[in-house]
Amino acid sequence: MGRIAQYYHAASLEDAFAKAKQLGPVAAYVGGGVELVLRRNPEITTLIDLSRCGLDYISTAREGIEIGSQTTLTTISHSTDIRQYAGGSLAYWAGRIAHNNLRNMITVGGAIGRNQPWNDVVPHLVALGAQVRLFDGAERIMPLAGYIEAKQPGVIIKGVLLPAGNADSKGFLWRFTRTQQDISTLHFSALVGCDGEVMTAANLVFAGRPGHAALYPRLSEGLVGKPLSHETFTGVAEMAPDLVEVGTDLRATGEFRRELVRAAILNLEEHMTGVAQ
Amino acid sequence: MSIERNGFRHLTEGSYPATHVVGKSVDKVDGYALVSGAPMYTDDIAARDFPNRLHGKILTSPIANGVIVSIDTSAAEAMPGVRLVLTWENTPRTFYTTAGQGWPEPSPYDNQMFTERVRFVGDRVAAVFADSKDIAEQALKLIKVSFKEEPAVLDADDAMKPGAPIVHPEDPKGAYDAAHNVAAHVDINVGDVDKALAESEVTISETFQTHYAQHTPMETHTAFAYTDDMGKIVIVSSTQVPWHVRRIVSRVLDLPMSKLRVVKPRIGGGYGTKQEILIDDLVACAAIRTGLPCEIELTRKEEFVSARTRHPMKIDMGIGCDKQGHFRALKMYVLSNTGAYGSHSLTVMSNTGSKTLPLYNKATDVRFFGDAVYTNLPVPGAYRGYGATQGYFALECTIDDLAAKLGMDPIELRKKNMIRVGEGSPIFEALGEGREGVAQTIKSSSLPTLLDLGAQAIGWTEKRGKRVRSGHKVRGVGMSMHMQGSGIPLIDMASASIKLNEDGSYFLTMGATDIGTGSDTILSQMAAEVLGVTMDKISALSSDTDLTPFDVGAYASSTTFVSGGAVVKAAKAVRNQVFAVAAEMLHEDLDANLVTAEPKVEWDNTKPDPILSFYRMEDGNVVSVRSGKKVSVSDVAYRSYYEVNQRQIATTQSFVSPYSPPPFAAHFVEIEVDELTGKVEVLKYVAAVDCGVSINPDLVRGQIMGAVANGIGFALTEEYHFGSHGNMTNSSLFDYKILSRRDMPPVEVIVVDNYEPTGPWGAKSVAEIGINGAMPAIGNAIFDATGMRLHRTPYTPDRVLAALHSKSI
Amino acid sequence: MTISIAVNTVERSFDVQPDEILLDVLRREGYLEVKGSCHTGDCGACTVLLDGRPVASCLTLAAKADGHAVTTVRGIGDQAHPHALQDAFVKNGAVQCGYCVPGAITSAKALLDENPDPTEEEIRLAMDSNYCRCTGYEQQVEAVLDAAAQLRKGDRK
Repeated sequence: MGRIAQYYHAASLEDAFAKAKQLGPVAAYVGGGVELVLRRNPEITTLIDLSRCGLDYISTAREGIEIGSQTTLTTISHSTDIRQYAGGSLAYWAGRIAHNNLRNMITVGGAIGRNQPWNDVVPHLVALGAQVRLFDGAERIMPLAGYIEAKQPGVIIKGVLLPAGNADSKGFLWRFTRTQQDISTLHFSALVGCDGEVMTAANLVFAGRPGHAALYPRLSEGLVGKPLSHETFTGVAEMAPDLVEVGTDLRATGEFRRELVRAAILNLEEHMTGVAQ
Repeated sequence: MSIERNGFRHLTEGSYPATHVVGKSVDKVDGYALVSGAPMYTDDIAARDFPNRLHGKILTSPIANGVIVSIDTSAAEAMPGVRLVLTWENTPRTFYTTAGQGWPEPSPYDNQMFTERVRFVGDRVAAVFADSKDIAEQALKLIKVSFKEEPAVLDADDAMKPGAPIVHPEDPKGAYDAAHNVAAHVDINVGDVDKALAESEVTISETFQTHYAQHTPMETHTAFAYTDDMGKIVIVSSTQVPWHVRRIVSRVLDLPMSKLRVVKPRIGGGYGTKQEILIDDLVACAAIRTGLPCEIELTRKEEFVSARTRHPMKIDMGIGCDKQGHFRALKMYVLSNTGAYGSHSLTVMSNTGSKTLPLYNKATDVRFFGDAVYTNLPVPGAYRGYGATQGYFALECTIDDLAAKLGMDPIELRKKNMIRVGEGSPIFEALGEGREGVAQTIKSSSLPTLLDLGAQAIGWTEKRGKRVRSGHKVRGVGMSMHMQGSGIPLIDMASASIKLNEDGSYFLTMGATDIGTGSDTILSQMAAEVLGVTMDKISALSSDTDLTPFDVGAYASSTTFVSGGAVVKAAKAVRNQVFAVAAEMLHEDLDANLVTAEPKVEWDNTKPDPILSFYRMEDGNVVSVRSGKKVSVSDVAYRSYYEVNQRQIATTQSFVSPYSPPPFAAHFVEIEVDELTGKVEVLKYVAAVDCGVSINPDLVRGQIMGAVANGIGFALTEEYHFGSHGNMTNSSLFDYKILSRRDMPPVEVIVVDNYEPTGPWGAKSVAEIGINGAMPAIGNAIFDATGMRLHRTPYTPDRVLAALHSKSI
Repeated sequence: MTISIAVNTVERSFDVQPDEILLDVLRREGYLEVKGSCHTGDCGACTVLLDGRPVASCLTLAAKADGHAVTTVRGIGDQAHPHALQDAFVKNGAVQCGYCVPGAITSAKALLDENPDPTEEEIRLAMDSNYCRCTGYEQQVEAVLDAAAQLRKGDRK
């Protein structure tokens, strides 16, 4: 592990960005810092701490809920507004994934910035249709799903937006783990919008495959415009194992993960219809 | 307590003496210190007392089998801050076993401080001692080693085959047949089991395979050594076996025992992995060579890879019986994987049969045989249960399958064949730990009650065979039953010393090793009971090879029974000395023989100690039974130390027992199997236990709960994964999953005390037995829920799912 | 660099390297009640409160704690003046080897500060960072329920 020569507490976003620009690739932003001790890039010699930049906030506006990038999972889990968003799935799971110490340390910005393949926050935010507010001298907004495909060095994640339009849809998260304190062998997140008994929108995300979060629009097609019925979901459950890219690692074989993919869809059915499968 | 305990029932069967402190859940004597985080563990003491100590790091082998062709440490030695580099070239060549067992150790002497061969990925190659951990780690990278890699044997099934790589070509002393990789072999025959099987109306034969798992103590192996002001080497070590450490290090380093002291401070868990002389030799050697205090603290990864594990075993189990289920024949063959070194190889394997087969003593013909084979894999050693865990898995699962074959309830089948009070088994005598055993007769047992209460608590009749469904989940119940032992009869010895202080308090020193189990507490309770005082009148010091008398250490579930016996004897001897002085002070006669007679451990309610007809202890006074007059114990002390006929009131007593009364247990579990994912969830667990008399009920419950948690992890989630060249790939708590706080199912503990006449205050033991139940009980519950019998463990979701799809079992 | 941390309400100044770990700095500075075990943030033995929230001190850079407050188990109570949680752990048989206990009590304290009447499930969730290999967890959960009840009665600090 390379040595850190400087630990810099930035006073503001502008200050942090300027410092990073000055130092180039040997500088890294610090969120909760959970990854710093174990998985630090040896090229990094300066850490830029963002905890004094006013990025720990949850604010509600017409566009939706914005979560500052230095907000921890615990804070997210306690937020009344987020508990009411999309059935409360983000708040519920932010209070249950990883373990307590980590939930107090992991920031939403750090989780997005590192996007480790096992993280459960990013896939769920992608399913919720989240956007990221970025700062690189000026501010801009883009979909989170696009941001994680193409990282932008130097750019600071200022916040995450949960769009108001998805507030009344149903969020769902199903993760398969060996014990309650384990990373996901398979992670499945969904956001389903309904008009009566017909589904009008569906974002389906698989992660921990063991790869990163990915949306599966082809599977969504199997649900959108269809009724909330056993046939609908069984159809998608039949299709999904062949479509979702899974691999083998020490937690499971690809073959077993395919079974989990099927189980994930059937668990979604149970959640949406209230009927045990 | 202000909280009602829903999950704990404490009952008694029969009667036993009324007591004032034994049998009570008194505070652990170190409780308040531990909850304040007092610096009492090895690294705490090192950090506090020796801040400028050297830190040691170990270079390990990246290959599973081969020879060190050359090793160049010059660059490492030249690095600033590096004080010492050790390899095979500059350390003693003595052969020894790392197993912390009584002398002569029944394990092969197949280890050296450093060997010219490496035998598993993780084997020791070199050690560096430097001013800081960072420097030591950097220095490791500068050591240039060139290996000649050889083919490795990575599967126990291959170890004995012709042409297999030989792990120990040097043919170590004590290895059974190193030329065929057999570290140990056992073959015990009672009657003629093959004939009995052939003549049995019903037979069953199955093979089971268990896996690598680790103890994961929260504190890894840690030890440091320093030279005291008188030139003695002092080792402070997180160990279960201080006397074995002293003896073995003394021999390996050729250091007289008078120049070596081993101290066990508070320990962050052992469970058997610290019944080993693993790093003590290194720190002592380094302290001698450098003249400076030297410490090694294994990392979590090293704890997994280079410390000790459970022995994976393949067990062939055969049972023969008549159509009514009366057992005739029991045949058990064990292929035990003992890894690269044979530490505990013979004794764990022996225990697999000796602690299991006698439970079903109605079988007339028994054969227990097995081979413990070397492989180029991480090294198993002692682990709570010690072979019985693996043995009960095979036996209890086979019995359930036999019950199914017979169309009989599994509990009924067990009741027909189980050992009862007054009975023995030829296995006790035929099979000990590494040598012949000692005949035993059961003198106390609550087992029938345990079976009934446990079955009731789980809802056996209501739930068994019902396969209750909810969506894609189905439920089942299963059970298993066990016995263990209480120390190794005629081998394990413990001793204790007690002396009286002027204020009527006592100082108790004992070898007994408290590894977090609370032995300091319960042994103080036993002493307090004899001496008629409250706990605050006893202060205790344990496990220092200079300051306390001998004890083999904490293993074989020996502490309550054997160390307890020594403490009871010591307390009685001191009590009697106090009585003698009191008699003098009261001008009463007291037969000297009553005072100096060898104290008995056993308390027989109908025949109390004769001396108690003359004097007894009460509220800090000696009371004369004859005259009713009193003398305070404090006055006795002041007189004896300062005034008349002065002498020290003190004693040292020892205890060895020909008995090893087994604790009994019956475990019941209700599970739910998710047919979509294969995940098995434990809904409820009932552990019913007979440990003799519970000296401290809260601590008994704690032992059982902890063992059950570990057993469930062993059954469902814990296993070593290996890469293609024998390298462990999940050597972290991130990847090796033990039960977390949210995983623990509701566990009901039912303790049914039953007075054991050979034990101190009627106690037996409880430390190990609780871990043996989960794997067979859960396996039997999976069978109840699904009709599938799994023979490989752990019961991970993918294995269960594959079984459900009938792909493999 | 020099950092300032209020450890157990006492302002302290430490000379640290920028990448030094809080656990190592605390132990080096004599706070031996904070125990090290896995050093990978997986087991919870090293749990301390950072501004009242439990964190893994083995994953926290000391520099990150600059200007903040750290509470160790001795800041919660000690042998002379045990906190209700410490009393309850001893009285309920929740302490065996004790190695996990400072971290466990620290997590429990944060829970009770925020939620004086937790359910069993809430206790397990709030303490899920703290592995224990000795006790099977149950008696520790009962100890927290006991302490919570004592504190609500107002009998205890």
